Formats: sequence, structure tokens, C-alpha cells
Amino acid sequence: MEISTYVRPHSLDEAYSLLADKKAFLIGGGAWSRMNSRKVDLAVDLSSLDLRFIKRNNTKIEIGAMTTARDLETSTELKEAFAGLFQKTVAHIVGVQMRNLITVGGTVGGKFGFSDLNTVFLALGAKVVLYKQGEVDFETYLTQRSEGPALIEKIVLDTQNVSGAYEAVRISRTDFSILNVCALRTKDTWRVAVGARPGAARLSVKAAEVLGSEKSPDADAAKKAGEAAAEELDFGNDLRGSKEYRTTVCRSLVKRAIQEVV
Amino acid sequence: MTIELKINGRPRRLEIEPGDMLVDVLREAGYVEVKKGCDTGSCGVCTVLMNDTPIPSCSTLAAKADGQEIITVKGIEKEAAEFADFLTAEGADQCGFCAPGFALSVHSLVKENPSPNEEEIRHYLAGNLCRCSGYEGQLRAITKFVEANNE
Repeated sequence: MEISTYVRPHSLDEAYSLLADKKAFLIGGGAWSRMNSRKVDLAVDLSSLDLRFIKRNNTKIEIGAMTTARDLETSTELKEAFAGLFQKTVAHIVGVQMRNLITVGGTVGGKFGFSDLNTVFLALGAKVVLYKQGEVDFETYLTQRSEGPALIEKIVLDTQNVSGAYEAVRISRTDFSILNVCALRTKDTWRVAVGARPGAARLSVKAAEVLGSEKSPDADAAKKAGEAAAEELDFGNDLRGSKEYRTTVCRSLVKRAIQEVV
Repeated sequence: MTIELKINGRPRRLEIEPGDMLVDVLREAGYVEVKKGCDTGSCGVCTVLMNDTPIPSCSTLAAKADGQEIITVKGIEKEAAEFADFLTAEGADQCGFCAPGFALSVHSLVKENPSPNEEEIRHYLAGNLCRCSGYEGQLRAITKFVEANNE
């Protein structure tokens, strides 16, 4: 990446002004800087804004935008709230070194198709908290263009009555997902998200309909939900897998993820 | 722009371009023990510690190191030499190109988890690729290094 000016503001206000007035390019972990050929006039590094935190209160967990993938992997708060869900989700994102660099804000803000984490945030019905704009539902954030400058402050997760499982297929450990799935059971519904289609993650409404409010779907229901997701969602080709392959794998991964939810 | 940082305990002031990557800045400043491999963040050869945390210096903007503390393999020279003895004893060291990043990752692993099991070792070092070997020698070397450390 070619950068003309690099600044590290000390307040969200300052960062927001630079973003709004000067169309600055935000830098989270900067993990993609090397692979990005864009020319940037003004880069704004968010690392001095105290946005690296995982806080838990009664029913919510707040994850600051500068929290790293490795922080998610080792967090006791996330483990207590969601068992091994986050640990499993980020475990094979390159290596420990890269996970120390990759930030939640960078991942969410990038809306990357290959993302493991965004699939899970989508299934969890996360809220994206944008500075000065307030909360946006994760699905809205992921599927719609942001109006105006979007400075992600934190992600908020509801921890009540949720149990989820994550499944992904990779050519090798540390590579990108060819397809990934998060199945989540809430108090009386299911949410099934499928990512790396290779487009960004989407919810399968039909898979959720198949499962209804069933707490422990049997193998046949899980299989039908997998088929429903594969039929409903769009898949595409890229160098890691074909549309047909992804469609087939979707059936199995959705089924497997549902059966893993305890 | 100018960055001020500590490298292996020594304060340094370096002139950089805002888009420079840390690996290039370190090598140009004379820290050629930091190797450049895949240059895409995948192989772990360029690993350095920033504030005691292993990062891929090829994918880290040098500007991010401003005000921070960087450790290269020379900053853990004694420990790296001890570990190298275990590597050579197991026949795991061939071309040696991956060794600096590998030694820093093992240093961080043991610091975070003083008694890792085989799966934990494999998981922590998944981001350090070696193209000479099949990793079995390294695994034996780490296991014995950890055992010796804990004695």
C-alpha cells in the first residue's frame, strides 16, 4: 500500500473527523497493507483509541474494534459465554503471528467474503456500534452500504440462551475457508449463517424454518436444514472451489454444525 | 516520517515511508537476521516480537512500531542458541532459513504455555512453515527443549 500521510489519533472524535472530512483510510491491524496495492492519501491508525477490550456484563459482551483474533481465541469471557465457539472460529486463521495482527474492526469493516469471524457474528445477531451513528444490526451492516463515514467502535453480542457451533472446510490448515458455517440456537429459534460462498456470509432463512423451535433436531432435520441452506443460498467459483463443490459441502457443514450445537 | 522504537533493547530513530513494511525497515537498519520469505504473512519466517507478541513483520506497517519494543532473534540469542542445539540434535535444521522466526515463535509458545502438549505445539507453530523437513524433527526438538526447560 502506498501511503502519503500516516496519523495515529488519540480520540475517536479526531479519528471520525479525519474519516468524515478527509475520507481517510482506516487502519486496524493493517494486516492487508502488504497485499493491497491501493494508494492512500491519509491513513488513520486506530491503535491509540483504547479500542482493544472484551468486556462482559450480565447479558452482553462488548468486543472493541482493535481486539485481535488472538484475543478472541484466548479470551476467558468468550469461552464462558460461548464455550469453544470463538476459539474454533479463529483457530485456523493463518498462524498465531497473523492472528496477533488481525483486528475485529478490520475484519468486520472489510466485509470480507472469506471471513470466518463475520459468519459467526452474523449468526449471533451481533450489533455493530458505529461512532456517532449508534448500533447497526450485523446483517444490515454486512449487506448494505454504510451511509456516511463508518467508524466501528465495538461489536456487541447477546449472551443469553445462545449455543452455537462453527464448521469450516479448508484445503490446508492456515488457508482461507472454502466454505464456513455457524449454526446457532437461541431461546426459541435457530440462525444458520454460511460464509466464504465465496461471497460474504448470509443467513439461511429456510434452514431456520426447517429447524423451527426444536431444541435438539434429529439427524433427519439437520440434513433437511442443510439441504434447505444449499438450495436457498448463492454460491460461486473461485480458485479454491467451484460453485458445485460449495453447494455440496454446504449441505454437510450445515448438518454437522447443527448436530454439534449442544 | 520518523519512528522511535526500541530494537533488542536499544533505542532507535528511523526514517521511513508511511507505507513501509516492518521487515524491510528492520533489514535496511541492519537487522538482517529478520528473514523475508513468502512476503504475504503466511510462512512465519519474518516473525519478530512486538511488545513480546509474535507478529509477521512482512505484514506489519513499520509505522505501527513507533513507540513500541521490537525483539528479533538476536534479542533472544542465548535461548535461540540453546534451542538450536536441540534442533540440530534431532536433525531438524537444514537450510536454516526458517530458524529465526521459528525460534521466536517457540520462545513465545513456551512463555504463554510452559508445558504444551503435541497438539498445542502444532497449533501454535502452524504459522511457521519449513520447506526442508516434515516437521517431525522440530516437534521432537521442541518437546525435548520444553522438557529440559521444565527440569
